[in-house]
Amino acid sequence: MEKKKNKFLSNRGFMIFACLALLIVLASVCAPLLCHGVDPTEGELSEAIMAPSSEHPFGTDKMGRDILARVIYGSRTSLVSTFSLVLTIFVVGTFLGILAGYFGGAVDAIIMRIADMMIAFPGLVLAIAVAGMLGASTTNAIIAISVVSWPKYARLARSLVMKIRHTDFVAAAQVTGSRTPYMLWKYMLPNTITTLVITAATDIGSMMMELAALSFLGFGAQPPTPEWGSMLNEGRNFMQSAPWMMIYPGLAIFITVVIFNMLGDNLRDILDPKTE
Amino acid sequence: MGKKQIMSRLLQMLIVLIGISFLTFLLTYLSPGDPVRNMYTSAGIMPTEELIQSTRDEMGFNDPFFTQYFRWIGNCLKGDFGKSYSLNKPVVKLLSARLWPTLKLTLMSMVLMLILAVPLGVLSAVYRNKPVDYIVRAVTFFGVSIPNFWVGLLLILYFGVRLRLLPVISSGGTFKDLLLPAVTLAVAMSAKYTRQVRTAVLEELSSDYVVGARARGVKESKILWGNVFPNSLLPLITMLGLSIGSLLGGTSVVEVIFSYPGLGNLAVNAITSADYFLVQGYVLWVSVIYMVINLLVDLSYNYVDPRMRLRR
Amino acid sequence: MALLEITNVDISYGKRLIVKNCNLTLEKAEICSIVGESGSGKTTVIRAVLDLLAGGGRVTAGDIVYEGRSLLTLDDKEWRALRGHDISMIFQDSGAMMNQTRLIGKTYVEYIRTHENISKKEAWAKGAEMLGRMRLPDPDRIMRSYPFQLSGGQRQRVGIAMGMTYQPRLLLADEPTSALDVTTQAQIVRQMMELRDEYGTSIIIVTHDLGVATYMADKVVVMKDGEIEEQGDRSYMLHESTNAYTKKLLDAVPSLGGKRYV
Repeated sequence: MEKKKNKFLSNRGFMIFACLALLIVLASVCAPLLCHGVDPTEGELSEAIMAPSSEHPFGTDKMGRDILARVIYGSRTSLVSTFSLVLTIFVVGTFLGILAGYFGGAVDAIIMRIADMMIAFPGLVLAIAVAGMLGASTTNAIIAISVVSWPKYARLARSLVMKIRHTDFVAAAQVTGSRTPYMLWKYMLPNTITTLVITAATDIGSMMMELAALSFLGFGAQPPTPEWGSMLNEGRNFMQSAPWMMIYPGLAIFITVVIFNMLGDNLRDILDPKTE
Repeated sequence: MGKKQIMSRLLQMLIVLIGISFLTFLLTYLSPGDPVRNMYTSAGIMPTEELIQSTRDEMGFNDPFFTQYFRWIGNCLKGDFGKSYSLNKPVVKLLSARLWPTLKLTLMSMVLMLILAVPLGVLSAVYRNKPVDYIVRAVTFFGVSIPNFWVGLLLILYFGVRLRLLPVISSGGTFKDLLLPAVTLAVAMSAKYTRQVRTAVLEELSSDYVVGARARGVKESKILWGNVFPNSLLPLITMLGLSIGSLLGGTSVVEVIFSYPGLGNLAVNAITSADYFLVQGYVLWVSVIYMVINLLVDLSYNYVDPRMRLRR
Repeated sequence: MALLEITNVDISYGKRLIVKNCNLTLEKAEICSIVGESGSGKTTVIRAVLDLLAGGGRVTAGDIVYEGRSLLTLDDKEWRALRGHDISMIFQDSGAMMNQTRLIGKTYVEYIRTHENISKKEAWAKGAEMLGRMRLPDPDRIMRSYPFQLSGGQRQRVGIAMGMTYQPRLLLADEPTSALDVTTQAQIVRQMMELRDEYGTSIIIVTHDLGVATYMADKVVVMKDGEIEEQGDRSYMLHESTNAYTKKLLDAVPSLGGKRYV
């Protein structure tokens, strides 16, 4: 354990981006402090569509709300929904994949045929349909993307489990009478977890972008909730007169995604030195 | 692929289609919106409860789920995908009118992507761990991290609003109309493909036949362009097929930004106005197109790669 | 003057020294076998002669001199003229050293046209003729085949045919018979020896098969852990050597049908 810790600490790239990611998380937690009590959902209509100034560093939107405050508060929506999404597909995908790989037979066939179905289908199309039909909300957007994203994890977990399923130590454990849940927990999960964590970590960025895309289309977070994707959507109607309305939220998504992608790549390099 | 494999692929496709159709139908069935109410309100009528109920009976919305489902499937097989309430036109007509523009956009962005990604990927692989490689890798990293709808907006802001060079709304089908949406789609894709091309070329460069060719004295340029390059394009064929699928879905965002008259834009509007037949039709059509394209791609791959074609 | 002189050569991959202080002299029309266990560095030595060391390997000390000029200072153009023309190499599986997605004929034509300014058609005819000389039946069919469509023995003959196209003065053979069955092995070994008799080709054959090594060679080099343990002419190494490692290796020589191969 001690050695592993050093591996993380001694990787400069990882430490830099871990700190940056932590900074973003901190900013979202301490949003009220950073914004000096400016409410991201309340605005003065008399201050609508004002260019960036010392009072409103990122300008204001059509309702006179401070864009800086909305961008900072928006990180809460983005981070919470992205992490819930990644966690959901990670847990569901891994669980189903381990079941399929461990039990084989009918369980495997059913789970994997459903997964094939999802993979044989353009993801965002279905996600849009699901999000749209469930009704627009952050939760539904998460569900929609989960529905089309879990198979990747299930396939991975299944193939990893299949690799060790018929090895001697598993057979020995079975012979000595270990119960199934114990087998899954003790042998199957640990053998899949590293690869899947790497996958999840490298997926954070793209998942964040997909959620933002759904919000941008109006199928995610609803106004007046500050959310980067939906802020961009509002901003695009004022592109000519108020470009700051779309520049800052977009920049926020971009920077956050870059940081999490970098973090994911570095994590992969540390945990899985085989790949370049 | 032998006849047998093609048959099993077709069977698989059929199963997937049944699953997809069931899923979409189930979703619309469970969806909180009421299509009948929407139909009336979009026509400008405030319907009474009785009117809604009688229309629901008339249109079969009160029938049991499976009755509705099989009726819909039966009609689809006959080529009747129902009627869009919001646009008051047959779904088939709407979809077929929008199909070509979306395909045009998809193909154009693919072409743009290939023009960018292939040379960059090859360059980056050949000059591995040299400055060029580092620059290309940094650029592609940012390319995959930038949301495409933001790219679209920035392009509009710069070329449309600031420079007034290109149209902000791409409603027509001219090259100029297509350019910005296609570039938007191509940005993220090029980044992804540049990485893929680089990996593929590196893998090919490390294969034994490269050593063999060197041992025979063959020129490096001949090795690269005559052998390594064509071989590294092979795995790309499969990926391109899959990308066409995600593009068909991914275009919706870009189509909305540019108000482009494509399938995605139609679908987003249909979902917003709870136009269920249209949504269902869209999902089915896109899945069929996607699967057919991928089947064709796999078949062509079998043809292009002699190892697949000739190995018993 | 010797054809090839390797003097005090060290070969490293990164910081790891793989071959230490290698010395080897090869005369014209001489056959030399390098034997040793896998990992002893024997393949590395002949790959270094053609500057074909994989990923990051290089000669860090000593010199390799071919016909009086050092091979370590050649530029790309000089290398191209030498490789496949004056010095050829055949591999354990020559088929795998060809592009799998190209017809053998196309690879052959590419090779011939690298060294000779002739038309594709002429090059094709020349390739087919060489295959015929290697006693490959139906050379035209082989030219129109992909490498993976041929048997191991056929592929190896194609590799040797290619290697012999320009009657090189030096043939480097890297485990040329290890992937073949015993009958084919014997045929390939005889064919290589005929080359020497016919064209005066010098051959270095790297192998872990001591039967093949001692059968073919005028001179045997034993390598161990990246260093030359002992070298000498065939009869000395077989009968007079007192080196413990050499003796141990030679005792392991397999016998064919009760009769010792050597």
